[in-house]
Amino acid sequence: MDKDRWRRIRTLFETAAELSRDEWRPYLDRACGDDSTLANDVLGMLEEDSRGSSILDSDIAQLAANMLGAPAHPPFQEFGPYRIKRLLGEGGMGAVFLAERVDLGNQVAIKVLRDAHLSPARLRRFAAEQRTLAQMNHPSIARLYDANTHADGTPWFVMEYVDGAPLDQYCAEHKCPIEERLKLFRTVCEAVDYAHQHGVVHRDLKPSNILVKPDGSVRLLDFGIAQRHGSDGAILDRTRTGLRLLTPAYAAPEQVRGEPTGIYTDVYALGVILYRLLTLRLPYDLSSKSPLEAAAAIAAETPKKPSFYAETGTASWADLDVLVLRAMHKEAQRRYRSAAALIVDIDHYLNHEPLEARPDSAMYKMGKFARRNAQTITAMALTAAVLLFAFALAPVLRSRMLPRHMKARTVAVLPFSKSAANPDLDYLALAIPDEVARVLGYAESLSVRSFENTRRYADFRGGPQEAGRELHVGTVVTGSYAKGVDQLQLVLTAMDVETGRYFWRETFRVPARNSIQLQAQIAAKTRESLGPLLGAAEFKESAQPKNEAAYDLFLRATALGSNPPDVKQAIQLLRKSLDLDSNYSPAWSWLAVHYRLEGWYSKGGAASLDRAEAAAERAFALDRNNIDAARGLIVSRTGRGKTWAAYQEAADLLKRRPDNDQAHFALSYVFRYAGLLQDAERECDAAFELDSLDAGNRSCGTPFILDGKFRRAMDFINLDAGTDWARSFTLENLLRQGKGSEALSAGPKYVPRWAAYDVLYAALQGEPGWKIEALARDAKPEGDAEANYLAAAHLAYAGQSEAALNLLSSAIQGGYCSYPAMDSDPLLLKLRSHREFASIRSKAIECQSDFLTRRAR
Amino acid sequence: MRLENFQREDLDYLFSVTYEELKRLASSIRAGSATLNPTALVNEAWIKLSRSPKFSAASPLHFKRIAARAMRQVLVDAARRRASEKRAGGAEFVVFDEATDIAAGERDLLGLDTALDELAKVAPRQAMIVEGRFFGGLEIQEIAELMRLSPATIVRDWRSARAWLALKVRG
Repeated sequence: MDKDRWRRIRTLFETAAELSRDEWRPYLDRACGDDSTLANDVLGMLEEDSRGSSILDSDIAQLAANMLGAPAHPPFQEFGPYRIKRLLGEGGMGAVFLAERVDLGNQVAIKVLRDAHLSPARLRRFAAEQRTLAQMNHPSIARLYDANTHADGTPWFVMEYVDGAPLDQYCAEHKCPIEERLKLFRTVCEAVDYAHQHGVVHRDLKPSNILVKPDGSVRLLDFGIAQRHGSDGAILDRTRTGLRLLTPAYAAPEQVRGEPTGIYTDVYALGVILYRLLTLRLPYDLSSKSPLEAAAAIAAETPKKPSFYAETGTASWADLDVLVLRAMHKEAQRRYRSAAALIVDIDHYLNHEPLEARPDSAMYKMGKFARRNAQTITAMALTAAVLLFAFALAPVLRSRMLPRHMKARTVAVLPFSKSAANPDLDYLALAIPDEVARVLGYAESLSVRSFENTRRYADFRGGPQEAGRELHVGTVVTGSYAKGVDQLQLVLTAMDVETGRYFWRETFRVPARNSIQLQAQIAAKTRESLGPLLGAAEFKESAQPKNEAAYDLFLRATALGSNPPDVKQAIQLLRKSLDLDSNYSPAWSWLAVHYRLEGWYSKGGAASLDRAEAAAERAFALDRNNIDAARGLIVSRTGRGKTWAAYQEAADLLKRRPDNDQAHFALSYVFRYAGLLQDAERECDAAFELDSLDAGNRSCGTPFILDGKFRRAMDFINLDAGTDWARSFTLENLLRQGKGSEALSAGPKYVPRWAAYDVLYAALQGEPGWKIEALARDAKPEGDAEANYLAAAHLAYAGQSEAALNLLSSAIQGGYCSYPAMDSDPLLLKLRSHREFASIRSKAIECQSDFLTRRAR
Repeated sequence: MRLENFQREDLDYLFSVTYEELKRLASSIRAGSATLNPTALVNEAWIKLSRSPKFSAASPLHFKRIAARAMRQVLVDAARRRASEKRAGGAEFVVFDEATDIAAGERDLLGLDTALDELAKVAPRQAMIVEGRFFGGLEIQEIAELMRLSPATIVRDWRSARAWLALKVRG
């Protein structure tokens, strides 16, 4: 059939369809002439059109049931020494059969992946479940016995057959008293805790996956969607969780919202299971709800307390309410921290002791109520929220907490909510809080989280209190703005994170187009009204913008990001701003940051780094109290080989601001280039202690990598997890552990422009020597001394000794005196036998001793 | 964003999810408790997949288009495999009535797949409409929005395509 024919068929069909049935034949005979095939085809179509009984009119769900449902035949393949007896059940992944081991006669369960050919992803996941089970060795977790693959590639594994009843059914049938239910449940918690201890989150806990055998022993089954979690209990891979429909009744709010899951997800499910065991009901009636409505209910509805359904008895229902509701709290952070913590309270209950958990306070509930009413959760809003969340991932929580007295003085300023009516003012949502953070930064007694870190909390769905908890601060400041006819109305608020109470609110108006007045008022309110409440009576003199247009350009620049096009635009805006007002220190400071970014990541090289240094000098000269400027100056000087001058400022800064993590970082930066790895590590540890979330401290990973402390290095690299920067330093880390192939897959998505990277990748991918050599010819020294060192290591690893020595030499000349790294870096192994290496090394020693002698004076 | 823009692994992942969702749907139907229709199914998959930055770049409607393609592929693959397994000798396990019934389902589905390919050569838009509506549960209104055409045009396209495909499948 060609297009013309189809067009004819279609025209004839559409014309004839307008006629009555007995007119079809005469019309078609006339229109088709002697092409009787055409006439018959169209006639057939008209018949089909009036009939409506083809496959296209059938229900696709039914069709799917036929195609994917009942197996066309029972499995007739061989299963080694096992003989299949019957089908036990089917799930998304495959089928489970009851089987018997022919020689021994014992019964086992065999899980078979169905339709393995359909996708490699399924094969991987099936293998993952098998691996997980193989790891588990616990009396209450079903055991893995054996695994194999059919000739056609279908994998199967053999596990313990559990002939038991689902947990809830068992309790109902045996009319277990409350105490016995709790004891059974405690056993389940132990098994779950064991899995957590082994780095596995189950994620699909429900009574039907927990069987009780007639002897009363419990078995946990089905690790089909289990995942590995990191040391902090959160799932590492955030993008691809939950491949299948959850069992909504036991799914946690974060699961239905599509947010990261972790140990806390299992704790939630345990809470629901306990609810069910105690009341024989589920907390939410989802029976008549669509999946989206169910998700909304789980995310927003408050369940009835278990005691609501209590029959009279001896049980202390108030405590049971607390146990259950604490475990299944909507906010992951307010749940029991682990299954073990839940066990502790169960034991308290069983021993008639007071629980460790407390019910939510009245204050908490009020805040909660207000928040809930503020956002009407509809199915579509939920979908949209899922989308937003993909871009604004909260940083992974760390268990490390600051001592209480230090926390009170820690402040984070969060991005403001945007004003939907005025998209042209969107930049204010970032620019105003940036200004507030800057003003607060001038109070020496406060520790203010860098706005660079907190800006990722734009559109954060957890609310300010949650953000404050994640940032480990005592106070969060945030607000909003709205535009009137010719006025801008600003609201600034401050909340105590611990209690969730707003303790400060200021509303004021400024002329809409006057950003100088805007700045002045923000600074005044922050200093005079908020400052004393935070215990900061004294503020150092801070820079004032003088020129309206200049300040406006500055504000727009601060709202831009750090990717190359943004950097380029920010530099343009800032230069224009400084042309109009060259005395505003923060603008120079920002310009320095962007020139540095340009020098490092977008082909700016040494020229950009020099501009960065000059801008940083200006910023610092104009305002010695601007900590960003001080840090920028120290980093810039260090990178350009002025280690000694940088050290003097760093030491001075630390003396003035010993409680500021940036000050410790700046000093560590100098030590690192001076080759004093242990000193650098010590300052990095101090910075981390003060602020374990500041992504600005990410490059502290480097001294630890070079010193062979690979695990600690990851703590710092992960401060900026998910970025190409973090990926490229994960690669550095893995390379030095001899994990070349892992490094290749962990490395940056977009290989940086440096030729040394191309060389490294070519070597890792096993490209021929001539190709690697050709690439190595392009490896030229960059502006930054440490970048040259790392590039030299890549070249050395790829066997390009000459190019490597060349770069190493410029690194040392550029002021990177790290001879200890040269001595121990495994990537330089082949280089160390070269004669030139010894002379470069002695220059590095010279460089370092020069630094040390000066310091000793 | 178009189907072609996705990496192989993304499509692999999408197929995997679609397969598992369909499979679940199938077993819930057999258990007599079907609560999902294809539209809800695709919505569910969308919610889950939109977490992956690659997919979230696609609009929900584009995603449904892609999901429809994946469903078609999954079902056709399954039908083909069932047919070949039966030829390989498994058929003796199947009782007669069920065998003819299932065989008809497979034959129709494979026939539809071939006919759709043929239609796509001469009328790609119409083939796409059928794929989206039948396999992906897209509404006329949604298809119209996706293709920037009036609903009336989509209905006309659908009608002649449906009639022709039905004729071909009945063969």
